[in-house]
Order: sequence, then C-alpha cells, then structure tokens
Amino acid sequence: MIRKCLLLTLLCCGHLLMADDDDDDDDDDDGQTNVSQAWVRQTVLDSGLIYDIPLDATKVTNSFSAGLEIGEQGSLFQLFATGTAWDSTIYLLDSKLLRTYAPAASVELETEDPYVRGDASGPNQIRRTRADRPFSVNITVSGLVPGGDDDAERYVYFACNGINYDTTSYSGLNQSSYLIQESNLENGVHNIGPVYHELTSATPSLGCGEQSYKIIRYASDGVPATILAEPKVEIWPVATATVENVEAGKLYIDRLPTLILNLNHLYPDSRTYAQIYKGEAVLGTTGTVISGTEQRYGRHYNPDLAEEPTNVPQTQKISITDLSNYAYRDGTYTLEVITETPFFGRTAERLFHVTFQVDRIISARGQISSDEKPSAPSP
Amino acid sequence: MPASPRGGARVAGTTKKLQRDVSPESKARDVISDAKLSELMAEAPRMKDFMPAKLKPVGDSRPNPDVSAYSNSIILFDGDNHTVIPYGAVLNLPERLRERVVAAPAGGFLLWPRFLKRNEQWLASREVPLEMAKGDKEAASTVMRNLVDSPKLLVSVYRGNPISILEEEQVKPGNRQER
Repeated sequence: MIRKCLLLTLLCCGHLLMADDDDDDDDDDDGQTNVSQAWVRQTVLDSGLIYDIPLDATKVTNSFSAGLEIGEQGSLFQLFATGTAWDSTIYLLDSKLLRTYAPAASVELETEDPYVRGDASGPNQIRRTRADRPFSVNITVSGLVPGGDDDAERYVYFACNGINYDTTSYSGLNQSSYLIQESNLENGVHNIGPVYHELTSATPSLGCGEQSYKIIRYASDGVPATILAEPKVEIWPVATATVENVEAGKLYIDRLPTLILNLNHLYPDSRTYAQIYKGEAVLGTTGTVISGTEQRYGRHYNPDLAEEPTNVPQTQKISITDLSNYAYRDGTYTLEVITETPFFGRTAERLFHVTFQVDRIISARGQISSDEKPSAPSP
Repeated sequence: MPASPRGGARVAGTTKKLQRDVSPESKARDVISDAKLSELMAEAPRMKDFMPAKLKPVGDSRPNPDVSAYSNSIILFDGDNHTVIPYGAVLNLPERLRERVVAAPAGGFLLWPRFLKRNEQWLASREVPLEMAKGDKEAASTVMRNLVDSPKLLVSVYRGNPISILEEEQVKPGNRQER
C-alpha cells in the first residue's frame, strides 16, 4: 500500500494566514469570522473517497501524513484557505497530484525586482515588475509520454491570463480574467522573453494588473484536470508626478507660492523625493531634498520597519509651503521629482522637472519706492 | 540681494548646502514616456513570438480544473455561518434539520471544528472505521444501528476529521467540468 508523508507549506499567495491566538472561537464574541482557516482535502482518485484535514493556521508550515492511503491511481491534495480579516472567500492555494506517473512542470519568472511572495522556488510564486520593464518566463515540462495515446500523456496545457487591477485601489477584486496566450506544451524547456506586459490597460505605462502562467495536466483515466503550476507576475504602473502652482520659465518676484506635489503610482519598493538646485535643469544633478517630500516604501528603503511593508503602489499629494527657504537667492532654479526603484540599479529616474526664475530685487525696489520716507538728516 | 526671502526667515536645519554632482558616468534618466514605451513595445517580440512552432495548438477542449472548495461538498448552514464537509459525509439528517443543508454558501465561513463547536446543540460527529468509509456494508451496518433516532445531524469523521462514506457504487470525482 502506498502511503506518503507530505510537507505542505502554506503559501500565502496574497492571503496571509493570520494567527488564532487561542483555542476559543474568535467569532463567538462578535459573530465575525476574522481568522484565516486552512485545510487540505484529499481525494482518493480510484474510489472518490474524500477526507478533509484541518490545518493549524498559526503555523507557516504544517507537516502531516496523508490520512488515507494514496490509492492505486493516486490522490489529489488541495490546499484551501480563507482570506484574511473579513474576507471569508475560500481560495485554492495549491494542489498536488500524487501518483506513480504524473507530469511535472515548473515555471520560473525573471523580473528585475527581487521581490517574491510565497515560496520562491514553488509553483505559485508571485513576482512583480513595472509596466515599462520586460521580464522572462522559463517553463520546464517533464514526465510526458511523447507519442502517447491521449492529450494527457503527450501535453500539458499552458495559458497566460491577464487581470487588470483598479488603478486607484490596485486591487483585482471582481475584475475578470482574459486570455493572453495559450498552447499545448511538450516535454522540454520553453523560454519566453524578455517580453513586455500584454495587459489591456488604457496606456502601456499605466499597465496595472497581473499575468498568470498556468500549467494544467489534462484530465484522463479518472484523474481530474489538475493545476501543476500557476505563478504570477504583478505589473504596476510607471510612476508619474506633477507639481501645481509653479510654471516653467516664470519669474517669481515674491515669496514662492505653496506648491502641490502629486505623486502617482509610486512603486512599492521605492524612494521618491522633490529636490531643488540652482541653475537650468541638468539630468543627474544632486540638489537639496525638500523637507517633507521624501517617500520611502518597501523593506529596502525601510530596513528597520517593524510592520510588513506595502506591496502595492502608493499615490500621495504633498504640499510644499516653504520653497522660498530653498530658493532664497536670486537666479534660476530647477525643481525635480526623483524616484529610485529596483530598476536601473536603483539609480535616479526623473519624474518631473520645472525651471523658474527668482528675482526679489524687483520686489525689494518696489518696496523701497512705496515705503520711501524722507531720510533723516545725517548727523 | 536679500539673504533670505522677504517675509520669512530662513529656518535653520531645513536647507542644505546646494551640491552639484553632474558626473558623466551618472545613469540618471528621465522616466520613460508613454509614447516611447508604446514605440518600444511595438518593436519588441511578444509572447506568441517565443512559442515555438513545434508546440501544438490547443484544440476545442481546454482543461478546466475544479478549484472550488464547494465541489464535492455538502454545505451546512447555522443561520450565520456555513461550513463544508465531504460529499457523502452526512450519516443522519433528521427531518427538522433539513434546512441546515443548503445548496449555496451563505454567511461567513467556519472550518468544520469551529462550526461543530458552535452548533453542538444540533450537530455531532461520529467516528467511523475506514472500512465503512470505503463502502464496506458490514462495517456500516454496525455503525448505523447505533444511530437510529438520533436527534442530531451526524457527520462521519475518521480520526476526528470529516470523511465521505462511499456507496456500493463508487462515483469518481473530476472530469465533470470538461468543456
């Protein structure tokens, strides 16, 4: 009889399993079900016997033995979990088909951002990139039987699907999925890329969503169609910045007005700031960072942050009330908004720049003439 | 020329000495424009260009894996929350409790152990031998004799966890959603 031990890692996949601190029902007091719950369903394929095994959601890894014999045709193990907080939707986090013969597939996603969610070498990893950066997909398929009798022996099914996220909430909730590419794959290594995203976003740089790469074993001989791998790459828009109340080339003769800095879609691993320097705009110039404008997101820029850093872009509106303190001499000034991300080696990318003039002599002369009083006689 | 802006003194610590660092090796760049990105994307190969010609096109039938926890499940509902147990795991369903079995999920979700704990007044589990779960009639008859007239909805469990009880004719799951 076949009996196998499984070590199941609860891959978060965006659905972090939150700890239940005690054995009591968290929902008893308030009637809510605000704790993630997870379980494995074993289906013995030759008999159809189904067995549900609850898991300890307080642990990242649950080690357990299959409760039932695997069976002659094998067993399908499905890892289900509810979402966090008030999300009681049940998600299929992973599935494994254990049998004597089964095809295997792995998908490696290569992006320029080292971020990964879930098991980095697992079949359901989530990577991310920015809409203007190409990435690669490397698929390895093995265990198929070339010349086999049916599709399940010869091929696995491959599909790349896209989901557009809302560009305000950065969520894919209730957004429908669409097919980007599909094919039957045979044994071997299939390298795709580097390629740009193929989301159907309003504009290429506003690409916001996910592309998933699903490998499915065809159903046959009583074995249901089974997902072998489904990694995803999240694609976030290219950040933009605008500054209100300042005009290019304008001569300011009084205190500089309050500026409104609009920062849109800042990458979840980024440092963004406004800087000012004297002179015409020269790309690569290091200026003075305007206090209060620096925004840091992600672990790289917040190594001491206790809580988990954000994993979605950020949009901010910031007022700059004291620009005059940075442009107190007459002359030409350039204001820039700079962002640094994992792309291009974290070097500066300029999101916005404007050059303007300051000449307070005119203002001062105006004051002198209007406030002029007869001078006192010299002693 | 005034050393500080009129109407506001320079605040100590808020300004730094201006520095210029225009190194020729600087890799600073302007963020890509949408027009430029569109141009690059138009010229670049797309995913389909990397799919080798030897790959076989997908036919009319695409695999459609069952990813729902509600498939092959019975849904129990207590008015506030629901749970799922394997199809075939209800050993006893009194007439007055029929409404506890529902066709679609409603309310919040509770995993079986917590759902059972909250509803012990009408719900109970009954440990069954594995032979019975596999469809052994003799093993089943022994268990079922002791369930007569139970007022509670009884769910079969094996080592404490819900398990389906197979009928004589075993129904295999899967393939039902092929299209």
